[in-house]
Amino acid sequence: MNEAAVSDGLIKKKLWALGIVVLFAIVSISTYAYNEYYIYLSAYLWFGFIYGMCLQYGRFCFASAFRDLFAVGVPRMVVGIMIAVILFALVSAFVTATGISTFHSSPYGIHSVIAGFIFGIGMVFAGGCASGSLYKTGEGSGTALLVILSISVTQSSFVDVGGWINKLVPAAWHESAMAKGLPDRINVGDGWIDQYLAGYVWDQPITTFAEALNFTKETFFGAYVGNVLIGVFLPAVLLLAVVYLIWGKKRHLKEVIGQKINQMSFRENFGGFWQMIRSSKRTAIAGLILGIACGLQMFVIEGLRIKYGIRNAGEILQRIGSDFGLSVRGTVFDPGYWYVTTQEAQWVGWLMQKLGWDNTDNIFFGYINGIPNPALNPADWMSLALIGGAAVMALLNNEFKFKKPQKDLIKWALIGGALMGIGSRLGLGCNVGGFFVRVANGDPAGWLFGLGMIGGAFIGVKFFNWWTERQLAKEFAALEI
Amino acid sequence: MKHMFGIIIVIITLFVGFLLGYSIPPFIHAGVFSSERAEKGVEVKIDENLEKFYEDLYKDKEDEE
Repeated sequence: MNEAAVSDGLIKKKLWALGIVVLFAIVSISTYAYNEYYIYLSAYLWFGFIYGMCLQYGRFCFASAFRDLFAVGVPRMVVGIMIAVILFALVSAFVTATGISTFHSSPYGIHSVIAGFIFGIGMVFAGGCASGSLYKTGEGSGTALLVILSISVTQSSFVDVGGWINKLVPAAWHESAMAKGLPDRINVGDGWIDQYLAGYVWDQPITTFAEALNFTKETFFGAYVGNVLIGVFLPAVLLLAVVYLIWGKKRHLKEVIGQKINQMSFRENFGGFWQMIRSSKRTAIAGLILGIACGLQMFVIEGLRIKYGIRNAGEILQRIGSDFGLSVRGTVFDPGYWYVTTQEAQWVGWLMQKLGWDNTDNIFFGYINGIPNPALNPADWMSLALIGGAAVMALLNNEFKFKKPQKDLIKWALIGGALMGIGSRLGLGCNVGGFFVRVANGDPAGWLFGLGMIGGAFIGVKFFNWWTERQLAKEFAALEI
Repeated sequence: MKHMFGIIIVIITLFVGFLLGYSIPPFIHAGVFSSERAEKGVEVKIDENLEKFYEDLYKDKEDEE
């Protein structure tokens, strides 16, 4: 009878999985039948769905990866992510070389490192990075949902905060921002993030590795030698070598009985390195499919833009009949590839506006991304579908379970989410938009964000260990009394 | 589980295939896959006569001044 109950449970989960897919299919078909332009939103939906399935399958979470590495010395997930970056880069280079990439590099500088550092601390506190929290929400984790809420609320508030916080803005930033000639409606002189962006970040250099080496990036040579080989493969292999020497070697030594560390030959070390690489097959496969999907998404979005003669989804929304929440330039957030945190800020920003907060007088909402209705926001369709894709994968693998947030974890979820929100806005992206996609497309800003993220994760793990030991010591002391 | 997974993959493939099918013709019309296209990305082909017309318009304004 127990076996029958288990079997019934599994069948129900599979049917739920199918139900979610059918729901998305109905949404796509019915909206397309209502208005052809909805196909643009459906493009975001289906690729988001694939991302969710891949993330859940590969347990793709930067926070888990670095926590495992720094806390218990297990490099598997970090290795998997690095391999995924390389594989993604190979696909991205093809898209770049054909000239159809929708990717745009970001300004790079010390701010990228600082932003990544804050984000890294936050993701360890939260127990999941931005993309990891999305897929874990799809698995039924209430704590992960809290993290997403915290990221969203923090971002949408942070980009609009002005008043007293303007005193923390350097005068040079203020002057530079005012000189940018932005529309009066944006009120760029009021708001820390506005002056940070317009007065500092926008003045920083933008490049790719191919361009820095004087290659034309829209050529196969430029994309593969400049961006992939020099910009991705060599730094990734160097990072993996460091991971092996510090953590992987010890684990490999356990399998080589009676050998001392200084007696391992180069061949034995290479064998250990290769074994470390091979141990992350699942995450690497997920990374490869993510890369292919992201490349295809760029292709599809660019094709649709050419078909409809548009540069941004804001024009699509106007044609659908909705111009609410567009930026002053008539644009909405429309990256054309995988992104996570910006649309999370948008849906909360939209809600805040509905509740009476005027938050369109800043660069983030008012000038660049807009705050369209989430039901019509292409990037929000992508995020919702990502959660759905992760849920489907979890249901099929019998890994789905509704889990209420544990009391102890709630405060860390909120604090971690807030730090991730701040780091995302400072770095113009999260572990996906700020690191993964940028690095794979040869943007040095990605590596700078990543280095900061690694440093922040290290500090976050050490702090967490110290905090946990302190709490345990208090509890033991209380028991003794 | 495998049957259900396969069904879901088929559904996803159908939709992604439809999207790809929607996107390819615009690239063909834009000449992206043409052998004549230099590796510079998607460009708008400007009609030479039209380009000269606008250049001459500018010259007319200069003459008037």
